Amino acid sequence: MTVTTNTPILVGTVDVPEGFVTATIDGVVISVPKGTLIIRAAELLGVAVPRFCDHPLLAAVANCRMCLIEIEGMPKPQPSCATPLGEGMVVKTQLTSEIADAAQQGVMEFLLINHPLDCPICDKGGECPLQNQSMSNGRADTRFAGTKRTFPKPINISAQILLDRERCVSCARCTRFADEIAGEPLIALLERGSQQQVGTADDQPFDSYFSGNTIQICPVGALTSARYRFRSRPFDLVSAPTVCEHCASGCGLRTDTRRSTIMRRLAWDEPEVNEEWNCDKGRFAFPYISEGRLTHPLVRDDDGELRPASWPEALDVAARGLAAARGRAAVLTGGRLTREDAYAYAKFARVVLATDDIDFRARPHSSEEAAFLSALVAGTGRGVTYSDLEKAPTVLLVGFEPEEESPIIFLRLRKAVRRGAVSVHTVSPLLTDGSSRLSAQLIQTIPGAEAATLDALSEGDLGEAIRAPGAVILVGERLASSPGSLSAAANLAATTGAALAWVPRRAGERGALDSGALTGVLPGGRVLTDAAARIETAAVWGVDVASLPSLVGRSADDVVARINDDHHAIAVAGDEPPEHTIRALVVAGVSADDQGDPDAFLSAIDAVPFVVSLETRHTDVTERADVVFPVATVAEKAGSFTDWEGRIRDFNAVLHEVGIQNDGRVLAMIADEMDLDFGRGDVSALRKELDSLGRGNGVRPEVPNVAASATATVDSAHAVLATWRHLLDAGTLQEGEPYLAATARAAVVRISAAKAAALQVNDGDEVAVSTEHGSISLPAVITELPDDVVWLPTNSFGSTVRATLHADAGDVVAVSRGGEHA
Amino acid sequence: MLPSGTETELADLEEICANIFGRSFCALGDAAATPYPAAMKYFRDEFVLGTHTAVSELFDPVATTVFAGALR
Repeated sequence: MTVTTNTPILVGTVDVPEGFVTATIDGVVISVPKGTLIIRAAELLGVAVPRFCDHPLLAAVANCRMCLIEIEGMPKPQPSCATPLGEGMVVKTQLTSEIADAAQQGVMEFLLINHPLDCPICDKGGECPLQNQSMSNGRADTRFAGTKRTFPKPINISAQILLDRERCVSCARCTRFADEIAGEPLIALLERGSQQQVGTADDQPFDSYFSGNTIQICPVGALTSARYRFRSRPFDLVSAPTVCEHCASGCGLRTDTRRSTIMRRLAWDEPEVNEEWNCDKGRFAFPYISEGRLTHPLVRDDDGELRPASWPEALDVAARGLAAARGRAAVLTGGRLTREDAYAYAKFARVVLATDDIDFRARPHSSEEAAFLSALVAGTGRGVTYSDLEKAPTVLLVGFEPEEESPIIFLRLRKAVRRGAVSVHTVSPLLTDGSSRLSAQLIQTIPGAEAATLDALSEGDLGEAIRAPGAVILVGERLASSPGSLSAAANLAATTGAALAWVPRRAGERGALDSGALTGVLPGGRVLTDAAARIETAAVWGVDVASLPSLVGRSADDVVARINDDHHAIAVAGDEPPEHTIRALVVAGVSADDQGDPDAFLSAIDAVPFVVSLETRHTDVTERADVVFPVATVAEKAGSFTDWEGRIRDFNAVLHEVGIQNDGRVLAMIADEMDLDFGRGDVSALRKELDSLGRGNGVRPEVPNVAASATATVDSAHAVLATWRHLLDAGTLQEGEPYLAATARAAVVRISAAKAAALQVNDGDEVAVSTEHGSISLPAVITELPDDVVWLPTNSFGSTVRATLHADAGDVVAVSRGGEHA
Repeated sequence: MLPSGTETELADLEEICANIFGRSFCALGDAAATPYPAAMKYFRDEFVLGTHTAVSELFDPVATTVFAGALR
């Protein structure tokens, strides 16, 4: 049951504030804000009126008739889920009114006429509102002697969602969710009478990113997932609240386990964050936790083979290798680490490896971005929040596609848009399906020209709209590869007074930034070169200030380039490596395909003499590493993520596996082996240190001011690439979940009508997008794009832009007819 | 036609109508649940008789014709 607001309750006779109504429910006087529905007012008194169709986040429809109550003076029982409490009303629920009780029992009897008696094999059995309420508000026996209506079952309304029509009580929660909340009315109630059923159009399955929510809000077992159907009974599950690791939305989840295996995940009720919803990725993409895990350390033998090793041996090898490279090592962490573990790397780099070469950005990045983040984001605490988005008059999205990159922002914006409260504008090459469901106004831009577009925005109507108090500018992490755009966004925010928020895609990026896992940034947003910040940090770390690195280090790209350059020089000249070259890498949670240039990254891993990898599963990095340590996934450790708002989202371990350590603990063991003081490295110790460091209040770096670069000019055989990720794609954390993958959006090439005409292709024809490294050939979808822009999904099946093309948004690519014409 | 109903069923029908009347989403529900309770109100005895006696015995079909008097 959900309580969405902290409605003040006034019981008894007191002064009733303005805007409140006073009425009687079951003989108790209650005052509630005007407009409060009777069913909610009764909840406040602890009276649970049975209900099926009612859901606090959906509009009232009153079509299940279960919540009938008696109101004195009204001839018929009224649905309490659709009737607001009125001044002076005398309401009697089933507890005090025989009429209400009889009405509810009668409705329950009707609902059960065609409902199969299959509770013992139904997934919902044990947590089923119909089951529970038939016990509390129904007859003990059945009077129905006929044959129940049957349907073939189950039917797939999507690859993941299975529908059992016999069990459906036509409450329409699922169809209303799809229509109202997700904005994708792909399912609807079909037919009439006892044949009424939920269905899809013939050629259009229920492939919505939010489809899993319908399973959770279904009050019967009519909707089940292919992932969970018949896998477990609710009463065998152990539930724990957790936080989603798939994006920076920060969703609260409930993870259900049975005998140390995760069986399913549900959206947890977090009114301030995800309300009661989550996306299908967060709900279903968890098999990676249990499949193909590293179970023991690996060490590279003298003959070059990786072999299993004991912890003491692996720690010894790692410690000796890193000790030899002290001061000339670099740390690359991905954006998937928890705040605590990212902090452990930040400290490990500075204290144990004596380097500032640390970067969490396992994706295309720039020095402009680093400056932007350290000036405006790192250690700034909570900034723009979800409720600010709801209240904002104007929201400007720049290089950010909410539905694909942070689905809960999408849902929250949609909620505000439906209320008519916010106007959304998006700086993008095309108006996507998601943006159009936000009624977004497109400010069409060629990739790479975002800066110029933003510079022009401060004038005119939109400039005025952004100047309205409460306006918000959301910038996506993708802007890092559009020179000048982050500077322009910061400038636009400064000149208009709009709030600015940076929305990374990965769950751990904001936490990593705040914890100092970025070159030049110490925990709490402190600046490495600020004397006061160094003193504060060194005091908590228990080290001499002078021992902290004093020069700002290199970004991940610079580290990779440095290694490759030096290695090239060595290969050509046959010389000894230069003194300053990087001799060791510590790599954690990074895979090559995350990188802007996967080949350069892998060749650097190959070239560098010593690589320590901390990973959960085998990757292209572990197979090249000299020492590999297995570490815990989010399910096996406590920790926290900082969501895009800057809100810290704590969670505890769900699986209690013996012998699996968090990253920080492994780093501490390596440091011990090197005879350096690092602390215990476990989550509680790391948290304590983070807390005592808090937020820095020293100098802030300058906001970057990078000029916009000239956009590329292209001929008819070429185009500027626009690209971003689909929410469901070929990402490594989605492995092992084929049903989910089957609901992903198909990879297509989007081209403009003019380009299509020039290439002589129609909708659906193959179009090839190529660079010197490779080619991607996919069906074309003619879209309203600038003529010289072509769009591909970054990392979908059939379209791995980074790995195949080595290209990123803004790069020029060749476009030609694909298929047999290629 | 031989009688097949029971008195319990008559009561059930009344209760079902009461469950529908005033509780349905649409007005057709209310309207559909009106005739039977009205019939029960005025002709209950006949319904009860109908549970054990064939209608042809209760209401001689010939007796309801216009030429019934001529046959006597």
